[in-house]
Amino acid sequence: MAEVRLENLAKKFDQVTAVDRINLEIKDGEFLTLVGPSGCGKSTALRLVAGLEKVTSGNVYIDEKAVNHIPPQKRNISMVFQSYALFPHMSVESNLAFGLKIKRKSQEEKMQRVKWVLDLLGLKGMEKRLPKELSGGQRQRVALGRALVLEPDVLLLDEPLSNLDAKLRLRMRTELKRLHKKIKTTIIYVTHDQAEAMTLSDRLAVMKDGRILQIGTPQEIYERPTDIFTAGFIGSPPMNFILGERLPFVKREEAMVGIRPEDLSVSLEKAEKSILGKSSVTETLGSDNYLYVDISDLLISVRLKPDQKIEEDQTIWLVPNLEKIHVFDKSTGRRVQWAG
Amino acid sequence: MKSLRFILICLVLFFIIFPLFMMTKYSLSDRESIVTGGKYPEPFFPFKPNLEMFEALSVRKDFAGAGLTSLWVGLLAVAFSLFLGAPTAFALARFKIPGIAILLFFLLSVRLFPDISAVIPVAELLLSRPFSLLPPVILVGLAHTLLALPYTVYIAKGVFESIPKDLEEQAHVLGAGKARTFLKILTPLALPGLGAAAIYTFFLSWNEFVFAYFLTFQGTQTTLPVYLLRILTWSPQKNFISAISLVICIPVIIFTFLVQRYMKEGLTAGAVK
Repeated sequence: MAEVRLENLAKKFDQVTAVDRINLEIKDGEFLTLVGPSGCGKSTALRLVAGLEKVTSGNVYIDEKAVNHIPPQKRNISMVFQSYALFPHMSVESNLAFGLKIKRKSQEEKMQRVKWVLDLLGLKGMEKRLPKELSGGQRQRVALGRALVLEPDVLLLDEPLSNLDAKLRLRMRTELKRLHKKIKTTIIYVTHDQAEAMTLSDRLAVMKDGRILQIGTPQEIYERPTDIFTAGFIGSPPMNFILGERLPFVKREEAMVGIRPEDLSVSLEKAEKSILGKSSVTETLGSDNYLYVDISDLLISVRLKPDQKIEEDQTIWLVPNLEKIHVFDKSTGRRVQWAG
Repeated sequence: MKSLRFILICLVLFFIIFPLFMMTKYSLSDRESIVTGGKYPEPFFPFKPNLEMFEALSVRKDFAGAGLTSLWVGLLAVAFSLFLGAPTAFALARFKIPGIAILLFFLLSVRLFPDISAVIPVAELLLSRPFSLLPPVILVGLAHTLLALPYTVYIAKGVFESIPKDLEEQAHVLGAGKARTFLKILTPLALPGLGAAAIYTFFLSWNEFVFAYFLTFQGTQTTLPVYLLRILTWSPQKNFISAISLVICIPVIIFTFLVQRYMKEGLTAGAVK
């Protein structure tokens, strides 16, 4: 177990800046997620920690030791690739034991550790199989097991769930979370899936264009996004954005107002500080139903109360929960203080 | 459409099988079945098939010697060209090398001239000291390596490019250095492709005449193609030469069969995704 610290870390490929002077501290035993759209530099940042890319400037520290010039095989980290990268010519057992063999562990310890990981991940009975004889979920677990068996200081996971089908992904998400509770290794996780980031992490770092926009617990980021991008990226369905001048009760020039679907309620009678609109389709997810409301060329999503049904093409008023609206400066995109 | 395809297949098969049949037939023929003197047409199958020619061949030390020489030359060429070609191909496949196109062009350059022109400088070099001190087997093996190397590099480059880079990076992350990654991960995965390169090299060497002739015409030890020429100069009987041709095919078939067992398909299946 270890702490990881990134200090003004940057990576340039020819002309493109993939990672732009990021600062980040990951505590011992923490599950931190780098989340952002594709091309935001999150995978590159992870590869810099792994040592698979050379740092352009800045430093990577593992337990207060600068590791910039230490090759990946000597960093005592482990990484699971998006593709799993199982060695196709080796059995599950040999795949799992690969790293232990290099570390010259005794036969006894090797067997014991491999057995531990087989039990932990429910891979018993698969020891002799080749990767091509495994299902997607099993391959994913072997990849994870191969990393865990080394008891690394830091475990790096690069979109490990994105190749699984939706149902399996949810199950592995839970398993991963339980696993982290059990082994308490420092984990850096990379994903573009905000739901994965929210459910798994102790803290997450939202990235865009090579920079970290915000770092915080899932709750902090959900409740107080510091800029318009984070606000729109985290949460599903995404936050609604309405120009300030259309909301007379927000007394601020040049403002963009963000309201989450659950912070709006539907009223069939005119209400104070509300937005006039026309109801459109309702999306039913089972537990939650979302109504889409047309407010002159803008479609706003609203979470309906349980059992609430709204017909299409009705004139309605949307009442925002004024304590929960987010106001951003239209030009900078930064959050601004606003007292309702 | 279907019948046309059938006819085409038959035609192709005919061109493959007919020469083999003729060779087999002559090698088994008795004298009367070959030398007809125009009195009767040559029979479709020999009157009295026998193995006399093969028996005669089996006791000829010069034939066995040439066969053994060819075998050693072929194996040496395979070993040299893989030993030099595989790491070269790996470097070309994995690292950004400025001027790589020019490099690859020069690699092919020995094959851009007709063999008969290329052989002069090569023979000049290999027949002068210190190379001339080496046994002819090694000299011809080196010459054949020169001919096979460009193909080996090209084939192996394709092979290494088809192995996902993730596997290498994964091995590094798990603690393996460069040498171990090459030996334990890349080589086993590249073996089927390298096997193809080996078969190609062996065929090339087994068939090659010009370089072998220039390098060994003075000595007694020579390869099968050159030996065949020496035999032909005494106008041997049709059945004798046919028997030699047949015997020459056999090692090629055995070698291909052995190497092909390593060319299992889809070895990288299950590596990624």
